[in-house]
Amino acid sequence: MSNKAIETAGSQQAVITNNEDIVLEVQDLVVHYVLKKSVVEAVNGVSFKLKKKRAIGLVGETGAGKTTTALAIMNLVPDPPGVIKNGKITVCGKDMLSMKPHQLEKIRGKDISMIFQEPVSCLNPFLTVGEQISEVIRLHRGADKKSAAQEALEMLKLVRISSPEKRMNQYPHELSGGMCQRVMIAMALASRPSLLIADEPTTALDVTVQAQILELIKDLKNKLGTAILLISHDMGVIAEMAQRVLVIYAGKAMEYADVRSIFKKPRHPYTVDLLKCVQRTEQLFRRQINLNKAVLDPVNVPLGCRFHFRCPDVKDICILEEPPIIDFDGGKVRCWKYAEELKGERA
Amino acid sequence: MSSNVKAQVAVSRQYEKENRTLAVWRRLRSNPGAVVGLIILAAMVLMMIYSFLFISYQDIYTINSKNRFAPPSSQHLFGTDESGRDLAKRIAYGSRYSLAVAFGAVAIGVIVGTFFGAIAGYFGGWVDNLIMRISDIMSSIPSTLLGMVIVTILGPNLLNLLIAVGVTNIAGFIRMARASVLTTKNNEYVEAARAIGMSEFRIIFTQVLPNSLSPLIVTATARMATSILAAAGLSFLGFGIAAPRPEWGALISGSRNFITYAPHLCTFPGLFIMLLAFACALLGDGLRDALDPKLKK
Amino acid sequence: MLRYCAIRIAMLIPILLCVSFIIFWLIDLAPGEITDTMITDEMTEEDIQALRAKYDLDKPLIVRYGKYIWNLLHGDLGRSQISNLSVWEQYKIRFPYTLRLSIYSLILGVALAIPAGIFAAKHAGTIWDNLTTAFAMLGLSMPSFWLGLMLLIYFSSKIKMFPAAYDGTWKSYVLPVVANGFSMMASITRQTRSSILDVSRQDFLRTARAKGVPERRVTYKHELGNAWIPIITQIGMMLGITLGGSAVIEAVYSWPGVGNLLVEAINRRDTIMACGCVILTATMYTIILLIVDLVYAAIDPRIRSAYTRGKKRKVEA
Repeated sequence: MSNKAIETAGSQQAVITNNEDIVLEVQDLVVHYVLKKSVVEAVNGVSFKLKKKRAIGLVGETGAGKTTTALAIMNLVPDPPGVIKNGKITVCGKDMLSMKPHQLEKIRGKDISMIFQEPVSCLNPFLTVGEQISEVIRLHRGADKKSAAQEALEMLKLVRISSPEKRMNQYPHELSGGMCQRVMIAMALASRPSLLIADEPTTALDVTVQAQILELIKDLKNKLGTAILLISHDMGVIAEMAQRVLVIYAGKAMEYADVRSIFKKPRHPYTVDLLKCVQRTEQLFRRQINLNKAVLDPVNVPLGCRFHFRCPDVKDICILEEPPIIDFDGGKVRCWKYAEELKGERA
Repeated sequence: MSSNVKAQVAVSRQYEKENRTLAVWRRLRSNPGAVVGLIILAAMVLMMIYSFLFISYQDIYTINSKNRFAPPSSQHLFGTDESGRDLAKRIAYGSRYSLAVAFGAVAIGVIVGTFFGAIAGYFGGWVDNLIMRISDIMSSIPSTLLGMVIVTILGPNLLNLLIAVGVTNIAGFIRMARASVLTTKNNEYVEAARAIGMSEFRIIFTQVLPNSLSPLIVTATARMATSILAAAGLSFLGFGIAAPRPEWGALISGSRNFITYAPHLCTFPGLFIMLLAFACALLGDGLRDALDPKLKK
Repeated sequence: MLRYCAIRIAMLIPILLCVSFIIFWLIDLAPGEITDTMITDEMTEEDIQALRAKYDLDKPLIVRYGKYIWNLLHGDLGRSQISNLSVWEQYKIRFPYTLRLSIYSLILGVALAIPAGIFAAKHAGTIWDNLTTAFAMLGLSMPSFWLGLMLLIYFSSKIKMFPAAYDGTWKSYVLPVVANGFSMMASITRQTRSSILDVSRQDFLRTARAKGVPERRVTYKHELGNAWIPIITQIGMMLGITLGGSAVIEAVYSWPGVGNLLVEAINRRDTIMACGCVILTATMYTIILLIVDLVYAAIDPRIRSAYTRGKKRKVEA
């Protein structure tokens, strides 16, 4: 499966030229969580771009800062304790971080949408499915109850849910995880947003349902032209959907390249590790990355490269100094290995 | 093979328990409310011990008509009552009744209620049905009424008051224990224990119940506060411990005739009832937060 | 849904029957008999036995209980064995006073508690929250009869603002309602606060914000809209509890309610009267709790759908 996905995804690689095509641009995002006795540096200088009709995958293990990045894009980072210390986020040309709440409310759900990991608990248990989808439609398009309900039904049909008329009056707890996720997708795409952020959309679902949901998202992306920011810890899922991949470790971007390059020639040792897990765990019921070594403590951040504790290729300089971002053909990587190679070549 | 597994299970659970207890204690210590509650409770217990050692029967029962209704002063910390007896000493002496109820009535509820609740939850079927029906019937009678009736039958003394309030606590514990058991009984370690060949009874009491400890502790401390108030209320109405014994509720009841010119007789006993119940409530809240930290913040 | 209601109501009857039997038996067990106060020195043994027979005291428990239930089923709760007034009449006269007291206290409690609870929840973790919670806990720990007496001392004796007992005026309601309502307010405040906090931690609020729902609507429709259900059930329970436990406040303020009636009846070993009072009160209590349960089941869609759509079905994606 992965191989086929890589082939098809790689062939869609486009050259970034036209600025109008850029739906999302994140520059040097820094987000900290300020707690009573410590500060968690959740995101530390993440940058990337996303074009229309493209999908970018944010990969990394739990706690790496992926969800925080996504929330920051929508300016939904819970304000105590989260603080966006630095960074610029532009969506369709609008600066997200400098907007006032009522402006943000107009954009969320309309130009940017987000779907989350546990679909059943992410829906209001006291409102019917129909009411929740209609809410988005009425908010952003000012429709009245009846036409909103009509549209909601259309959306349910679009996400290929079974018996859509019935679902309209059902409550979230009556639906399975997969169906709830379809409802979330329906809600998210009801206003035809330019950007859809999908935070681990399939992690909580059965594997067979996972495949269906991913297929659905891909389809809708092509049909509606929505750009997708896909977050996952599962390289397989990323391979299915994304054209570009951003590998995050401990809040910092480690590698940023096309999906093909990531899979065929992974540069950063962490990327290599992640891919090893995919190969190791081809069994259908173990898609979670289960690295035995400890996850980096986001509070006590070491001086050198954050990954040096787990890196098989660690050198002295990795412990002393943080590696710079190095460009290569088709991407970027933050690793001393490649700096030396270049130096070696020049010398 | 099975003994090895048993040993491992026992060791790992022991280790887990030790660490957990320490962690809970640390969390409890950092909660200001819980600490205050603990201090107040400790102070009350100390007061009771003091009263056992230093306050004699004479101190609280001798009538001294020359010194009636004296207001609080340096000589009599809380003043004197209608028979000239020192109120402070009487209150200190009376602490034993309230503390006895706080612990005793809850103990009855815990022991009887948890036992039957666990059995109901574990065995299910008609046993469960029967116990739950009985529990329903018990909760259909308002606790004050039930308490009044029980004390009337058994007679007004401390033990019977304990039983009366204790009985009203049972239904709550039955429900709690049953819910706890229902959620844990299908866990894997129970399966493992059964596979080793442990008898059903042993399984309940050594495997399932210890893990239901948190809700039990929380319910118990909450019940301590309500039991104290219930006992005081019953004594106030005349069902329970009566004069001349200085139970706090009875003290308040006795003060009713004199409230206009000796309000201190009503104020201080009530304050102590409130303090003790407050301490239990604070402790209960603190324990609940300490035992399940993910609920907070 | 209707089926569920019907079943629950039907179950009420055997429960009430058991309750009535237990109470009858318990009160009967109590030492002393009604006739104790009526026996004079001149009576011979035969006279005493005749007296006892008159009150059916020579017959076994089952017979007496049987007679009682027979009458009960015919709507006759019997007559007080002392005053010979009908139990039902007495209860009927006194019940409205208890009811009024309970309802007014509940209204006061709720009116103060819900804003306080919302306030505490919104400022959770700050000093305001801690103060409110501490205050609520203090209220819970306060014996209501003590508060009642303290209020009497200061507002009725020292400052003659309110009467000390029921005297027909609205003023006489003030002190008992405040005393009774205070502890109810305390527990409803806590329930409100925790209910709102529970809901505010839920993920679906984040989804609502991500949908662009304005913050006000998130608070009122989504957060509070889900939080009020456990609060309502708590209020219902409090009504039941206060009706059942009114004896204490009624004692403090000499309130002509059913609590006082019961206490007197027990003290005088007036079995029929005591039984009648307890049974009626227990019945009311049970019915109120049942209504609360049913209302909760009706409002909460999670429970409601399980009953209206037959079996709970989960369909696969």
